[in-house]
Formats: sequence, C-alpha cells, structure tokens
Amino acid sequence: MATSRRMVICALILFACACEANEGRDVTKGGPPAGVAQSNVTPDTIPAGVMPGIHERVILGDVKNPYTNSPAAAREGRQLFLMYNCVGCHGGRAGGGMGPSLRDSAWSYGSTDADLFATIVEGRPAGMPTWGGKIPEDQIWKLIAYVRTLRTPQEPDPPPPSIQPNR
Amino acid sequence: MTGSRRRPGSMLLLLMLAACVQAPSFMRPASEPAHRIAVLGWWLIAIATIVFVVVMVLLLVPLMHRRQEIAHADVHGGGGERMILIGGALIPAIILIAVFLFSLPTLSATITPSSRPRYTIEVSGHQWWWEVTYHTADPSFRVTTANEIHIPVGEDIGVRVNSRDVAHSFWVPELQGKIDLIPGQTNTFWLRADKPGIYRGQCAEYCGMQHAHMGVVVVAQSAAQYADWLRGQEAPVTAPRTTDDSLGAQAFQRGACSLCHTIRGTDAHGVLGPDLTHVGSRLTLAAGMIPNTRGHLQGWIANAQGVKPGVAMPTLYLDATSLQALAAYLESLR
Amino acid sequence: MIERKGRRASMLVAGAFGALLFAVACSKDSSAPAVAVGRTLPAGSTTSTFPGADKPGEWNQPGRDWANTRFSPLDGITTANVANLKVAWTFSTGVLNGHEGQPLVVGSTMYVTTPWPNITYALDLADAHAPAKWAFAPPTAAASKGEACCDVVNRGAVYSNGKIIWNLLDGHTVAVDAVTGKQLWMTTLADINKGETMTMAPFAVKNKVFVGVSGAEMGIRGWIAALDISDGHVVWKAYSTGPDKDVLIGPNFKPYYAFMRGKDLGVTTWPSDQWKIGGASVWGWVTYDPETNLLFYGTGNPGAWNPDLRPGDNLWSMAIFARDPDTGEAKWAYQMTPHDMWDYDGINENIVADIPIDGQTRKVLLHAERNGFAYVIDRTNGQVINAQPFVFTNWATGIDLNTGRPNRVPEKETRQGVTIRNICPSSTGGKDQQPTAFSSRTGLWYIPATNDCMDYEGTAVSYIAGTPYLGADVRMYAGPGGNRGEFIAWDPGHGRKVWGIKENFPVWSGVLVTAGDVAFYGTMDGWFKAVDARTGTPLWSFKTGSGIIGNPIAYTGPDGKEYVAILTGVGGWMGAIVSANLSPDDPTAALGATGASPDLKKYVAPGGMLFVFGL
Repeated sequence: MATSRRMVICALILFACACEANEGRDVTKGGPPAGVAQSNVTPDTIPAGVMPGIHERVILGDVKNPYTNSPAAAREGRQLFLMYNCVGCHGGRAGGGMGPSLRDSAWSYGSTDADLFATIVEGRPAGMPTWGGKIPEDQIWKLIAYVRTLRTPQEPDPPPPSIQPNR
Repeated sequence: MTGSRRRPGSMLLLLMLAACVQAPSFMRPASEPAHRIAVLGWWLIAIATIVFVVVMVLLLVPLMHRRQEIAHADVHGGGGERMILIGGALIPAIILIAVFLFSLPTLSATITPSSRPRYTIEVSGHQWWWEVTYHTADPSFRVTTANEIHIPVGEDIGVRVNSRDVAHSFWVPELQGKIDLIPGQTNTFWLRADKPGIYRGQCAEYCGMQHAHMGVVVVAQSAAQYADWLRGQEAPVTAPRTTDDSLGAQAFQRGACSLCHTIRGTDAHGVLGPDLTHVGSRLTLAAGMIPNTRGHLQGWIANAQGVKPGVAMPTLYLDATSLQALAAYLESLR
Repeated sequence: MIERKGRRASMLVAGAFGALLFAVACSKDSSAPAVAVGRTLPAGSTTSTFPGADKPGEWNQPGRDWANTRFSPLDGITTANVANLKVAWTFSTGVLNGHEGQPLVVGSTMYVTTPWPNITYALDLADAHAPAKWAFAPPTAAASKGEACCDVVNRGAVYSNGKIIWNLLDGHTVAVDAVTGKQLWMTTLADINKGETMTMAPFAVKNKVFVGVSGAEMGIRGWIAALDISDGHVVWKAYSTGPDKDVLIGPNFKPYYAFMRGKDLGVTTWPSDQWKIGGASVWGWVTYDPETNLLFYGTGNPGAWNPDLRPGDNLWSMAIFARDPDTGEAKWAYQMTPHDMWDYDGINENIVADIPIDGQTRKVLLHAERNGFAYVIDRTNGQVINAQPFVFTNWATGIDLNTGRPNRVPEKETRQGVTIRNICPSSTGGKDQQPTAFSSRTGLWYIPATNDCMDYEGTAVSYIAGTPYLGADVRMYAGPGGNRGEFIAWDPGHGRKVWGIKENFPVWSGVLVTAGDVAFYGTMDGWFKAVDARTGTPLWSFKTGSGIIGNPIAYTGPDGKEYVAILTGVGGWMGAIVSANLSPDDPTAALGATGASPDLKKYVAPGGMLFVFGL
C-alpha cells in the first residue's frame, strides 16, 4: 500500500516536471534556447562597477538580440512598450510623436541590435531618457524584438485603419 | 503617538490571528449569506447522500438475488421500460427541479444585501493579484491597496468587480459565493462578515500559470478599527526616518520599482503592480502566497520569478546593500 | 526720421482719442438691440484700440494689446486694395519645426523668435535687405526636445521696458536689451527632468512679465509666475493645483458658481496625492484688463488623460483664473470642463471686450474653448453670459448657465479599457492655442476652428518622471462634412455663427483683423488668405513655402506703409506629422493627431520662413 502511494507521488512529480519542461520550450519557441537569454543576465557575468543592463559586450557592439524572430517575445515587448510609456513619445503604434517614428527605416543612432540596446540603456541627447538600471536587460531585448516586427505581418496589435476624410 | 504605538500592537494581533487561519471552507460560514449557502450546501449534500444510498441499494438488491429468480422475468415486458423511464429520467428530473427551486431563495438572498451599503469596494483582477480600491460618497476619495480587503464587521459592503486582463473569479467561501471578474464589464455584489476574523479567498476561475497562487485575505474588524485602518491607508507616506530607509527610498525611486508601483507621498505613481503605500501593514506578499516578513520580502524582491514564475515582476539584480535597504524601507511603510 | 516720429506721435494721440471714442461708441450701443453686423463706427474710430498698445503701427505684445484683440488699427490695406498685396521681403529662420506665435515690431525693428533652439533675431526694417541687427541664440538644452508634447514650438516674445523677453523650451525666461541684444537676465523656472518645458509667449503689464509652464502631458504641476521685468526675480507664483495657499486663493476669491467654492478644492477634488502630478499647465495666452486690474489666463488639462486615474472635478485644471497682477491673488475662477475626459485644455486666449448684450453693454471675456463652446463671460465676476458650440460638438448638449457646468452626454464619457467612438470635437479641440481676433468695427469675433472627431480609450499608465503621463489611445479623423477646418465669424452678443469658410485642414493659424476691415489667416497647407471681415468674401491668397501655424501681424514700416507679416513653417501638434516626419500609417501617432491629417505630407514640407506682404 505504502509503496504504491509512493509510486503515484513519483509519477505525479515526473508528470509535473514534464509539464515544466514543455513550458520552458514554449517560452522560447521560435527563438534561441533559453540559455542564451539567460547568459546575458546572470549576475556573475555582469562586470563589476557596471550597472545591470549596461553590458560590456553591448558597448562593444558584439551582441545580438536573443529574442530575434520570437513572436512571443515581440508580444511581450508590445506590452512593455505600453507599460513603460514608450507609447507616449513614440506613438500608439510606434508611429512617433514627441519622439521619432520607429515604423520608418530611419535610425538616428544606428540600426543594429547593439545600437538600439545602447539607445534604450544609455538614452540619447535629443530627449531619449536613460533606461539602464530601470528596465531589466531581458525586457529591453523584448522591446527591441517588438520594434523589429513593426510593419511586418508579425506585428502584434497593428495600427487601426485611419479614417480618411470623405472628400 | 498613541496611534503609532497601537498599530504595531494590532499588527501583532493580526499576525497571530493569521497563524490560526485555516484553509477556506464554505462549511464554516461567518456571515449571513455564507450561512445560507452553507445550509443549502448541507441540504444538497443530504439530498445527494439519500440519492446515492437509494441508487446503491437498488444496485445491490439484484446483486444479492440469485440469477434464476430473475431469469424468468420478462425484461422487455411492460414493467421494465416504465421503471427505467421513471427511475432514470422522471425522478432525477423532479429531484433536480426541486433542488433548483429550493436553491432559488438562497440565490436571491445572497445577491441583494439587506441594507444599502455605505461603503463600496472595487476589486480588479490582475494576473495574478487583486487590486482593491475603497470609495466613499466623496468622488475623489480613493484608497488603493492589494490582496487584502478590510471590512467592518456586521455591515453590508458593496463590491464592484472587474478584470484588467483575463477572466477571474472572486471567492471568499466563508463570507459569500463566487463572483466572476470579466474584462470590460463591471459586476456588482456584496460582502458581509458577522464575526471578526481573517478569511482567506481565492481566484476560482483558471486564469493562467499562477492561478493557484492568486489568493486574497479579508480582514473583518470592528467599525472603529476599520475606520482607523482606512484613515491610515489614506495618508501618504512620510519621509523615511532612518538612513537605511532613505537609502531604500532612493533605490525604489531610481531603480525599476517606481516604474510599476505607487507609493503615495513620493514621485512613484506606477499603476502596473500593486500600490505599495502601506505595504508594510499587509499580512501577506505575492497575493497571499508568502507571509510578509523581512526574509520573504527580500527573497521576493531579489527573485520574484523564482518564487512565482511568470509573474509580471521581473528579476532585479540588486546588490546586497540596496536589497536590504529596499526591504527595510518597504517594511517601514505601515 | 523726424517725419516718422511726428506721425507716430500723432497716431498715439489718435489712438488714445480713439479708445475714448470707442468707449463712447459702446455706451451708445447700449440702446441697440444687438451687435449690428456690418455697421460703421463714427469717423475717427478707425484707430480705436485698447490700452497696452498705444502705437498703432507697432506690435509689442503677443496679441498686440493687453486685451488680446489682435486688431490692428491700421487701415492702409483695405478690402478694396488687398488684392494687390505682394511679397515685400522674406527671411528664413533656419529652423524646421513648427512656427507658432508671431513676430513683434518695435520702432523700425522686427523681432522673430524661432522654435527650439529659441533664437531671437532683430531685423532692421529700415534697410530693404532687413539685415539682422543682432541675433541671440540661447543655450537651450537639446534634451528639452524630448519633453515637449507637441513639437518644440515657441509662441513668441514680448517687448516691454526696452527689453525683449521670451521663454526657452528648457524652462528659462530670458530678457535681452531690445537695442543691443545683450542678455540682461535669465531666470530658471522649470525642470525638464520632470517634464516641465516653456513654450508660451510671456505677457507684460507695467513692471511685471507673466510666464507659465507647459507639460500637462508629462505629469507636471502647472503654475504661472510673475517676474520683475527689471531683474527677472520671481515676484509671485501661483500653482494650478494643490492647497489654497499655493493657488493664491484667499478671502477675496469669489467664484460665481457654487461648485468652485470651498476650502483647498485643488486638493480635495483629486484622489490622494494625484494633484501633485495633475497637470493643469499654463501654456496659452495671458490677458489684462486695466479697468478691473485683472489678469486672465486659462489652465490646461488634468493628468493623466485616463480619467479613471483621477476621479473628482480636478480643480483647478481647465479653468480661467482672474488674478490681481500685483499680488497674484485669485479673484474669481471658472472651470469649463470639470473632470476632463477628452483633453479639452482650457488655455485658450481670453479677449477683453465690451459688447452690447440684451440692450446693455457688458464687460466680457471672449473665450473659444477646446471643448467646442464659445464662452462669453462677465469678466468682473466669472458669470457665463452665453456659451454655444462653434463646431460640431456632441460630448455635451450645452452649458447650464445656472450651475456653470456642462450637460454631459454619458455615452461620450471616456474610461479605461473601453473605446468610446465618435467624440466631437477631438482632443485638439474646436480650436487649439491659435488665437482668435475681435474687431470692434465689425463686432465680430474671428475663430480659426478645427472640425475633427475621435475614438478614445483610457489605458493604464504609470507616472515616470520626465516621460509622458497619458494613458489614452486616441485616433482622430475629420468631423461631419469632411472639412477638417473652418474660419468662423461669430456674433458673441447672440452666440451664433455669422459666416464660415470651410478649409480642408484645421485652421491652425491665428487671426489678424485690421481697421481696413480685412481679416487674415493661414492654412496648414500653406495658403495665406485675406477675407472681407464683414462678409467673409475671399479677397486675396498666397501660397507660402510651408504650412502656416503662426499668427499674422500688421505694422507700419519706416516708409509709412502698412505691412502684414506671417511666420510659415508647419508643425505643432497637428503638423508634427510633417515636422517630425511621423508615420502616416499609424493613426494613433502624435497622440492621435496623425489620424486626422495623414495626407498633410503630400501638401507641405517643413521649413521656417517669415513672409512680409505690402501693397
């Protein structure tokens, strides 16, 4: 009786583990394995004296967005775009306003992942605030993943149609 | 002065009470509507038990008889089909209709309060926590807290519920039935506690990964204590008193915290996470998941994703000094 | 030279005389049943003007006179000869952002202030080349560009006591010597790290200059300040929210309507602490009435745009204040849109006028509000005399003259998580900051209007210092009829439209009306137009290089001839799609304004330029 109960518990645990593993795969489906994203953010890789977020390799430009082509990350990035008030300056669907449009092909400070990352982390003199130390690095990459989907069919929450004047 | 001295005392009392909180059960009603629900529940259990016994007896009777005794009975004869019709359809239908009619008075009694509520509480569901806002007749009065509802004993409290993301369901079994929280819609119901105490509630509609860890605590206290509590909650925080606290306040302002959380009286007015103006006075953290102690608080700040995977709170990489200062500061917000 | 001086002196006398005559004319009118549209005043009244602009050929204040009429007593250009108007000269400002505001003319010098970086040029009118006598380029911080909600505009300078005074986007007020261009003082007033900027034109009365803060979209706490003209120190500062002592409300504060009476309403009509980030900026135009010794101005929208974050009336946002200019003490106030849900800022200009209403001459303020209603308010006590919609308006059915509150349409009330469709007017308003003009000759009030509607959804938003505190997803589009703008002549005594000229784009320029009975305005697609001020008949138009959002002025050149000047250079909120190169495929860009003008890029390109026209 006791052994059978133990077996049931073991089976349940194993099942739970399997579920967990599935979840883990789901999160990064279509993107690199979770380990890549993690490697950027584990505390021991952060150089001493540097704020979390301002990563050595980012400054050197030798880094790629771990969430490249990840629709799930882009969706999360869209939420973060709303949450962190990016939307206030860059427009409801990133078409611009107080800040420049992110929907066009012009990038004032460079177009690589590292450039965008540096723009968000360090800020820019014409008004972009410094977000390093506020938005965690992992979320910054998700924001960039969202920005990369603009004007593509993968764009989460695309703009509503504009209503043309009837003339 | 007396107020500040009394508050830690009442906190201690609350914590002691919290220790005695049992798993929520509708069988220990602490309010008039819950009592009605419990009575109805017992009746339904009794009816179900009778039905169960009768069915079992009917099942066992043929088992006890010898096969040849029924061998000659004409299964296709007149009696058999009628019996199946009556026993299998008619009687259950009558019982179900009777039970339905029997439950209607309870339903109507629990939907409408006996008196017009003087207080209205707004409960908004988030993945996975509860935002609780207190309103009064003054339209601009507003106190926002999270995962902890205080109500005066013996009074009907109006409750408006809505959801900021997916469907949730608010259920404090010892006080009331369930009410669904639907995005884009406001549902109304009411709460009442006839005995002071701490009652646990739970989200009762599957709402994602951490559905099981979306708990809520209802603290029923005397009218005077409640008024005292509400006054305390309305007050914005004062300037931090110790150096550790002010270091924590700085870390909160300059770091990621203020992007999502509000501490009234400071520049932090984030609305994405729970209002932390008086977080130190709360019993639990992470929607009823862990007790509000220094150790749990530090663990939560340092690694929320480890404690409650999938939660909106990101993992923050803080140095030990900032973490301790931050926890000390938040603990001081009573 | 001597000749010119003599002429000016005679005009001065004529001006003072004219003011007298005007007053007499008005009191005579008291027996008349209404403003007689098209009536001619007695001879001599052509130079009638208001105090504060005693030199008819000059333009020293933003609205020319203290009353903000934007009426020029010059009559060289008339309905008969305006068709011959030609470009006299032009001047490029070298700045590509939106050129709101107007140049100033003092003696034989014109002063032009640009958008960020807020350079002021002093142009010599005596020389045909109009060379710069001096240019003052202040060190305006570039970071302030990221804090300005609606393009990095500047609404002009003011001339007083030999000084040219203007505001810098990064929160400074600077005064320079009008002759030499040497800096006399610079006062730091706003903190761009909190989202505070300064865009308004200062206003000068006697020895004080009045400036206010912009940034209600950034969760600031609005204020107006009075600086001493001699050294720039702050004499008084009145906040728009908070306890009475901060708002400078004392025992002499007597609002006409009951809902504004009570203690510390700037605190109690907000949820706990919300007033500290409640907006109510002061970024419009200031007016002064020497007769009552009152200063008038309006406050902006409450923050955030999501109304669910701030239940209550949200005083003193959306309100006109009447203050004593010497002490700042509030005398009365009137909140036009309690608990705003649509961003209908109350900052639009107030024009001081004395007009016949129901057989009496009333001392009024004319205020064409963003919320679509044209208010005529008794300026002695804040009572609304009439308030009628001047554009299609559906958020309220009218203004209750007994309570002073709008009768709201519940279906148009916005809230979080729900998209409310077809609200008119849109957030940009029936009219934004572009100022109206009033002619005592025609009795008409000229309103440059916008005919847009919108969909509005409140969204969750956190206050993050220095970032937009909005919480709304807005999409605008053309209102009924499809014309996005209209130039309206309004009869303020009866609260009714006399005539209107429909325009494709919102009329985002100010108005000039002259004693020649010509009204001037510009369009966003670049046309500068002159119409008959009485009938609205188009008389002349000229296509400038960019779109027009500036305000025209008239002045007398050193040659004694009348000139009309206008800044062109599209931008501002509605024109940001061009000046900031926004994406037309996102109708929610620029806080929803892009949705209403996605085609503007087809018509105009950015570029700041001054155009001066003469016969």
